[in-house]
Amino acid sequence: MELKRKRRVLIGSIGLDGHEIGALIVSRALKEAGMEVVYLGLNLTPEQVVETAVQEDVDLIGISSMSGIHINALSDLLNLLKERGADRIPVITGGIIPPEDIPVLEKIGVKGVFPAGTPTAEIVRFIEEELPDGKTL
Amino acid sequence: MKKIETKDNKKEFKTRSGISLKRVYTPEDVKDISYADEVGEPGQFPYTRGIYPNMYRAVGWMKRQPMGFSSSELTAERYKKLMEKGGQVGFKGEPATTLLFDMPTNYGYDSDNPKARYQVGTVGVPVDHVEDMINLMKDFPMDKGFTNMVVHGSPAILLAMYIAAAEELGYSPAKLKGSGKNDPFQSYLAERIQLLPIEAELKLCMDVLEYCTNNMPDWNPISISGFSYRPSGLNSIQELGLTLATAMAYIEAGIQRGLACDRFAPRISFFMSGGIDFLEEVSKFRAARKIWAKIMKDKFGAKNPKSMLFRVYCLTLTSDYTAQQPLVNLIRGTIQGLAAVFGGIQALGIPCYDEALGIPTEEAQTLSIRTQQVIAEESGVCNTVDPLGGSYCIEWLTKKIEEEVYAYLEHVRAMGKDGTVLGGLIAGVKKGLLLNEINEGAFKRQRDIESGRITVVGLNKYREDESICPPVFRVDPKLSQMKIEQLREFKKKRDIHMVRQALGELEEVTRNGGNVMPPLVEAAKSRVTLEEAMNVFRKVFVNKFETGEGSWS
Repeated sequence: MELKRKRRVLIGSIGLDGHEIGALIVSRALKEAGMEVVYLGLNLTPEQVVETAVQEDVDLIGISSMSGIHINALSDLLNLLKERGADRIPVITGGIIPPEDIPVLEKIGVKGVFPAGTPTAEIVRFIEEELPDGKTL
Repeated sequence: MKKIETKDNKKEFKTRSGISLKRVYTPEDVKDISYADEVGEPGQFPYTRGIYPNMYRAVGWMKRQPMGFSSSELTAERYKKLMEKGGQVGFKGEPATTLLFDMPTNYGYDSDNPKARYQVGTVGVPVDHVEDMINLMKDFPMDKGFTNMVVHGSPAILLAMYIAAAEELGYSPAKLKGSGKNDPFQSYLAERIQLLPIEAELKLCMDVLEYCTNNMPDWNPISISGFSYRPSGLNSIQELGLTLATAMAYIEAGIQRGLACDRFAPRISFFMSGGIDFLEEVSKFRAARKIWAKIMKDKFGAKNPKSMLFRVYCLTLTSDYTAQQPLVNLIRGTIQGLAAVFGGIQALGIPCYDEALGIPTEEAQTLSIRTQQVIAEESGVCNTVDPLGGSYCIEWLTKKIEEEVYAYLEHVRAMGKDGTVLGGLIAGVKKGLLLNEINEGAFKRQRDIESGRITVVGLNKYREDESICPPVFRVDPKLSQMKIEQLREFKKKRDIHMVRQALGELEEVTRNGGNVMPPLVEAAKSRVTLEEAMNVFRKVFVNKFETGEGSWS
């Protein structure tokens, strides 16, 4: 019998910012949907995110951004993933993100953008479609 | 004649905090509320109807829009413009301003620290040293104007820079008018900025209180900031409960420091949120005044009536705003602001309709100020004091909120072992109980929105595919780079000998448990940066409290 592990998602926020509620709400919704969440919390650097993502072998990275740094922070994150040869890991983001920034983020390689007000079910559905199967153990 | 049958369309009608409201309120519901003892005339104990006899008939509320971005020069320019529009004004038409600092400043890092990357000047103004503060304040009449400094992680250092800047600009600290946030419990629980052990943060908070009590009679040394508990997850009643619990804790701590409560309590002010649930918010502010007056008089034995006044700056809630159909936020701001005014607040800020999208544009700032002006000068609600007082529903709800808040205070006290609210809060912070409560509140709010139990127009109801995208204000990234280069130049030019000496003195006083404010002011004048001063605290306090040597006081 083939054993599948749960989808494993890293959630965290880059930069100095105390807005944690969005990240916590999404984490809980993903857990309730049967995923495994590696919750890294606040005040991260892109380097820390990439390091943990690789070590924990996560299937997807979700970054919460509330202070307007999403384009710079996510560009750095995606570049670092490439350098580490880990750019197979899709990255999504959510938070205070102006509509006009969504195409910019998509262009640099962010797979999904979920601005404030997105129902959590939409994020769950997106991840389920992005990662159709859990990994084979 | 045929009787008209009417029926409610829902099983229950609840306020946002979960209080069930009846179909109608009658004299029966308020028969046990004594007008003389529990309501009273405005300006008289227990101040339910207002802290002043004439309220807005005598002086309007302060119109304080929060702002701050990119650089001290740009921020200064923007608030000058707002003042010209009648925005940043105090009781007597004097300039009043709220300063917001960028995240590195709030976290005690200088602009050139690698951890500050991306964030120099993004959500507030960067202040690394006294010269930044001088640039920010040089066109502001510091002895006449009112400055509200919202600093989360390093309030003692920023206040010291403000004092040093004032002295260099020729003002005596004794003349400074304003308030600083200086509320470590709030920084821990709502902002989640935890730079030093909570006991050390409290020690610094008390140093500021003691210093201001002795040297700055017109400065509010602690602005108890319940505001952020709401967007973090608590409801209106919990917000008031936790705000008053922290206020009691600071009074207890101040008394333990050896200060008589009537010496400092008159200068403690409050900063609360204004929500969209109109009836509940009006009642919240009425209940707050009554509870605070009773606590100060009965529990702390205050004799000075000014110690009993719940003076409050209300900022309305952007967590009620939506990024969808953002112009609707103008209407939300109006309703929230009107509720706050019916609640009898002393100062008001209505955030801009585009806040859910980023830092407000100048046009949006103007509209917020105009909203306040329409409420103040067109709507007629200021013609009489507490016009909703005496409403069966409002009086019943005020009483109900009072009861719930007393229960909340007991709940906090019970978290500790020593029977004080201060002990309860410290225990609640260290055990994670309070943070957990706030997070659970946020989960519940999200569930309520997603299930449609509460309506958010444009978000979970009346949603539209095409939304209006207002222009987004962006900070020029070149300004961050410029700030970092300026800081490097500043560090090269200063007298490093003086810097080292000032840091040495600060460290010695910190180790000996003395009041850090005098050496901090000297350090600011000696061009010590924010991060350098913070590193002294990090070094001394982290060892002291994490090894369990020190008790907090």
